[in-house]
This record gives sequence, structure tokens and C-alpha cells, in this order.
Amino acid sequence: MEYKILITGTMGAGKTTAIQQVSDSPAVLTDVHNTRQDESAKPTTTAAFDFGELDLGEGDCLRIYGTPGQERFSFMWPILARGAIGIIYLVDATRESPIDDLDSFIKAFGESSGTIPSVVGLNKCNDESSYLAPAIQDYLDSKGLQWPVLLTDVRERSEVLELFEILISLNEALVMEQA
Amino acid sequence: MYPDTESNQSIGFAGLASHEKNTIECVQRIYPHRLSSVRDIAEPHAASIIFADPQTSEGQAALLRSDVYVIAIQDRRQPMEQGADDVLYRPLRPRAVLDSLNRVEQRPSAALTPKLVSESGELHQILRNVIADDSNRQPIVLSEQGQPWLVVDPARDRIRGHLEHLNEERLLTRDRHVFNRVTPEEASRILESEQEAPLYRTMWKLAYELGGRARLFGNDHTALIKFERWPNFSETRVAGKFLRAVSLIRHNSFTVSDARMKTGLSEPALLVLLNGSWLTGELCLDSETERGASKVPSKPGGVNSSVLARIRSRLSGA
Ligand SMILES: Nc1nc2c(ncn2[C@@H]2O[C@H](COP(=O)(O)OP(=O)(O)OP(=O)(O)O)[C@@H](O)[C@H]2O)c(=O)[nH]1
Ligand SMILES: [Mg+2]
Repeated sequence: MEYKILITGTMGAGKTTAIQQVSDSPAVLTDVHNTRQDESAKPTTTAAFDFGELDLGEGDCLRIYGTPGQERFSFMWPILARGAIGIIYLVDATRESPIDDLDSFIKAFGESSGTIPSVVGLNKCNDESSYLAPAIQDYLDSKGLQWPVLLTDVRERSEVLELFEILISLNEALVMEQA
Repeated sequence: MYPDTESNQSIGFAGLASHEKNTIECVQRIYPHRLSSVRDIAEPHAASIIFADPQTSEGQAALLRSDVYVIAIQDRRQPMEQGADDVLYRPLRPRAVLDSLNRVEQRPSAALTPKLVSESGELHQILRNVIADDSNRQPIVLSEQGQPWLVVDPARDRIRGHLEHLNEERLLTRDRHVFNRVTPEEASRILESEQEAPLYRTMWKLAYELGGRARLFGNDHTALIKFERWPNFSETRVAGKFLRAVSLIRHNSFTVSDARMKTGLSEPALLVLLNGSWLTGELCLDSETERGASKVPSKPGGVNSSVLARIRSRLSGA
């Protein structure tokens, strides 16, 4: 059986970097030359999906999808999210209004955002932007979403693993609840 | 001067850094339901409430105006700004901004009759109640034989006073401590020159110092505990095992011994997590948790503990 985890966030939030930390095969890189230098000054961007895979044995596998940074694909996200065991929302603290970014990604996932175990990783954070962690927590509270918010640097493998660990534990809790 | 509370008030900025404006704007945007009257952002000349940095000339100009309500934003080292209607300290926290906006209306009556509500209780219970009570962010002053020794200011996430006296022994003795609720201005005056530390970090430090030696949340072994909210991980350095434990104890209520079995944490480690979260108001006894409006995820199809265990081991080994 196939299980999937989604990683989403704005252009340059660190999705490709995060997926590369955890997948078996070098992620299927779909990065191309970035023609939207106005949105982000990075040289490459992901055009389709980032994709990573972990073989779990016994015929099971975990697929990790990164949503493309260019928002014109967002109509596909609710379909992609169907049946997912988790969503990681990466928030880029250096952007103009990170909470609005998060808000628009949560909205893009529609109904599924409330039903899938989720975690927020606040990336590229420094002292000036550290106010964002409690602010995001408060924003989520106001939406009735009880998700954890972690300060992360997705260039560190251990910090990416923490985000995954939360999703696994949230699933464990749901399994336990049903038992 | 106090703006008309009926009308739509607007907020202006004078001399603030852009990240500080962002903090205030985001409060105004994400908390409309918690602001007691609607407020927009406006140019300083059209605003009725101004957030001002007294170190800048724009800020100074705002402080001289008598037709606006001025909230000074300053460093703790600077002397308190006398011309301001209210003062907030850096770094700006969204909660503190929200409280200051809601104080705009309360201020006149509070200033005329500074209400000192005196109460008493066990120290850890007092601390927790003050931190966890969202409806009252007023600071408290704890006194001993008439002498103030600690100021707890949840709105500013500060704790001030003879912090070396705030220790395990004092936390656990059954003595009752007397405390007064005071205005923020009063709190700043009392114990002004004493040590100061972030409130949440101090509570976590205490929890670590206590180790496994106590259960602050009550000695009833059959009591069910549950996380009401996720702990603020930005205040604590937590190991992965804590993350897992919180996910489990957020969804289901457990007794402490069940929680130990399910989470695989040692008793001292689990008690650090539980005591710290209890002090900061994130952990509750199940009897007090609200079954509120929060959205609860549903179990994805086909997931079972074997799959989850394999994902975990593949990730950590890969
Ligand atoms: N300073 C800093 N840089 C980071 C951090 N996390 C990621 N980066 C860098 O940010 C850049 C963008 O990361 P990507 O992984 O390409 O971002 P993406 O989300 O895949 O972007 P798109 O594919 O364009 O949507 C990379 O150069 C990363 O090294 C962080 O915490 N701090
Ligand atoms: Mg990418």
C-alpha cells in the first residue's frame, strides 16, 4: 500500500531541501531555471512536484510530495491531499507576511486541511522574526487548528526528522484512539 | 486622552521598525474577534491610537500630542516613558499588543481606582492560574510578610524579583502565598531593579530543576491528564521523544502511569514535560479540559502501528 506525506509552502520555503533530507532515491528533481525572479530571487524553482520515496517493506511505501511553489497548480492540492497521512506547512519567516502565506496555503487545501494531521515548520527565522512562532500559534488557534509550530532549519536533517516525527506521532495517537 | 470607544478607531505608527509594524498589523488582522472595537491602520495624523518609539523624532512628536492615545515601544533598559498612555517593551509580543489595545478602554477607570485584589494560595497553583488565565492578563505581585518579592506579568511574558528565591522548595511547600493584582504601571514600579527573566522560560527551568521529584498537577494517581494546547516549543529545547509524547497525550487522556507506558519516557523525563506544561497552562486535568470547537483530524485509511513503526525506523536509518 502507498502512504503519502505532503510538504507545502511558498516559493523558496525549503520544500525541495526538506525532501532531499529524507528520501531514498535522490528526489526526482524537477527544478528549472526560475523565471519568476520577482517572487523569489533563487536561481531554480520546482516546476512540477518534488517527489521522494521510502520503501517500507511488505509491499508498502511512503511517498513524499512537495507542492510546486508556483501557485498556478494549487487546484490539484486537495486531490493530492486525499488520503495523505500528514501535511508539513513550511513557512518562510523572511517573507513580507508569513501568516498570510500560511493562511492561503491552508485555504488551498480546503476541507482536507482540518482532517489531516499537520505541523507547521517556521523556517529561516532569526531574532527579529521570532515573534512569528507565537503569532502563528495564535492564528491557528483562531482557526480551531491545534497544530504544533516548530522553529526549523530544513538544511538540518535532524530538524526535518522532527517534523516527520510529529506527523507519525499524531497518526499513532489516532490509531490508539480507535483501538 | 481616551478615544471614543463607540467609534471605529484607527492605529498609527511613529518611528517603529518594520518588523514591529508587522507584529502590530498581524495582531489587528488575526484577532479581530478579540479586539474590543474594530481598528484600522491609518497614517499617524489620522490615527487615534499611536504606537511610538520615543527614541525617534516621529515618536517624540507623537508623545507631545494630546489628541491621541500613545503606546510607547521601548527597551527595558530605558526609563519608563512618562508622556505615554501605555508602555510596551521589546521584543514586541502579539499577546502584549493585543492586551494594550484592549486596555485603551479600561484605562480611565483603572487609573482612577487602582484595584488591588488580594488573594492567597500555593505558589505553583498561583503561577499556573496567572499564566493560564487568558481572560485576565493583569500582573500580580507576590508578597511575604508585607514585602513584595516577585512580580509575574503574563501579558509581557516577564517575571521579575528575587528570582533566586523562586526554587523547588518554595514551589512545593504547602505555605500559602499572598498576592495582589496590580496595574502594569504599578508592577513596573515594584521591584524595578531586581532580576528579570522571561516567564515561560523560567517555568520550564523550574520544571527541569524539579526533575521527577514532584507532580505539580496533583497527587491523585487516578487523575486523567491531557494536553490542552501544544507547548510553545520555541521556549524549550525538546527532544523528539517529547514531541511524540505530546501528540499522544493531546488526543487521549491518560493517567501518569499509562502515559509512561504509551510514551516510553522515563518517569523523571515525563514529569519534567508534564510539570513544565502544567505550570505554563498547556496541560490540564481531563476534568477541566474544554471540548471546544477545535478541528480534530481523522485517522487516514490503512494506517496502523506497524506501518508507522516502519516509517519511523526507515526515516531514522535512511
Ligand atoms: N538561511 C536559511 N536558508 C534556508 C533555510 N532552509 C532552506 N534554506 C535555503 O532556502 C533555499 C530555497 O530552498 P528550496 O528547498 O529550493 O525551496 P522550495 O520550497 O523547494 O522552493 P520552490 O521549489 O521554488 O517552491 C535553499 O537555498 C535552501 O538552502 C533556513 O532555515 N535558513
Ligand atoms: Mg523546490
